[in-house]
Amino acid sequence: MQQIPMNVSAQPRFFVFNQQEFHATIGDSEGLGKEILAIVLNELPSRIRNIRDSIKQSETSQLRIEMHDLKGIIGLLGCSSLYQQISQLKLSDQSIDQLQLLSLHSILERLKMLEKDLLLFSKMELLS
Amino acid sequence: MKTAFVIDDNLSYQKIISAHLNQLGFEVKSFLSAKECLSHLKDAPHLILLNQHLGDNELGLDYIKEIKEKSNEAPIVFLSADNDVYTVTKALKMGAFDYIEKNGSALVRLRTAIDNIPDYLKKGRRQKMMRIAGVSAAIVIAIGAALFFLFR
Repeated sequence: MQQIPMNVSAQPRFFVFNQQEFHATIGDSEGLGKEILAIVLNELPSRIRNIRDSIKQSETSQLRIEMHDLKGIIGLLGCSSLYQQISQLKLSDQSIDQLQLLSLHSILERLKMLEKDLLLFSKMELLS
Repeated sequence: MKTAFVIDDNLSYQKIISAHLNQLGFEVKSFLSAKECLSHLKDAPHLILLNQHLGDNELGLDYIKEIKEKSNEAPIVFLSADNDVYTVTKALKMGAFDYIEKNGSALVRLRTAIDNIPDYLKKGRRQKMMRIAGVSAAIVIAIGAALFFLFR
């Protein structure tokens, strides 16, 4: 008879979101967790749009503001690797070089994944 | 109920911090700029959270002294998304009670800072008493010396 591997987890795997870090951030407060999720899910799509538009139009000062604001929120969600990536991106007010552009696109993709992760997580929270 | 002022132009962050402070038993008033907050300081909040980068190129650092004076020495927790040693040092030197970087441990640090407020206030009161005692002692010594020279 075939053995079922013991390490198969019923928990879905998130791409960017880290559930453990998030729980460490909010402590015992489930209410706070739900509130953070609602606020972030409400504003993340418009932030993603703004970043995408700012990259297209090379609006460096706007991008700097977006990245700065985003950093704090991402930190609260416990997404430490995305937080590190945003922290390492040092944008000037003048222009964006190729490396920064690559990093910005990567951040944008990860933000889209984060949005999906959070939607899934909030559904799980609702079901639990 | 204790009151807390949150000064941050990042609306989402402001909402999250306010929600957490509500849960910790604070009534929260939020402001987008430090200038806007100044006229409300007479309400004597028990805690002030001040962000470094505010709208219209306003910097929280430039307001620490004024806020501290006008709020009757309310503990100011300074927030910033930058981990910049110069800003941290300056904020603490100017009288901020604590500094919190807006990273993954920000809420944990905030809870710890709130737990430390009574000790901070006690220390402040003790320092004030020591200053008063020092000045009083100096006055008594001066009067004593004056009397000694007058009547010797």
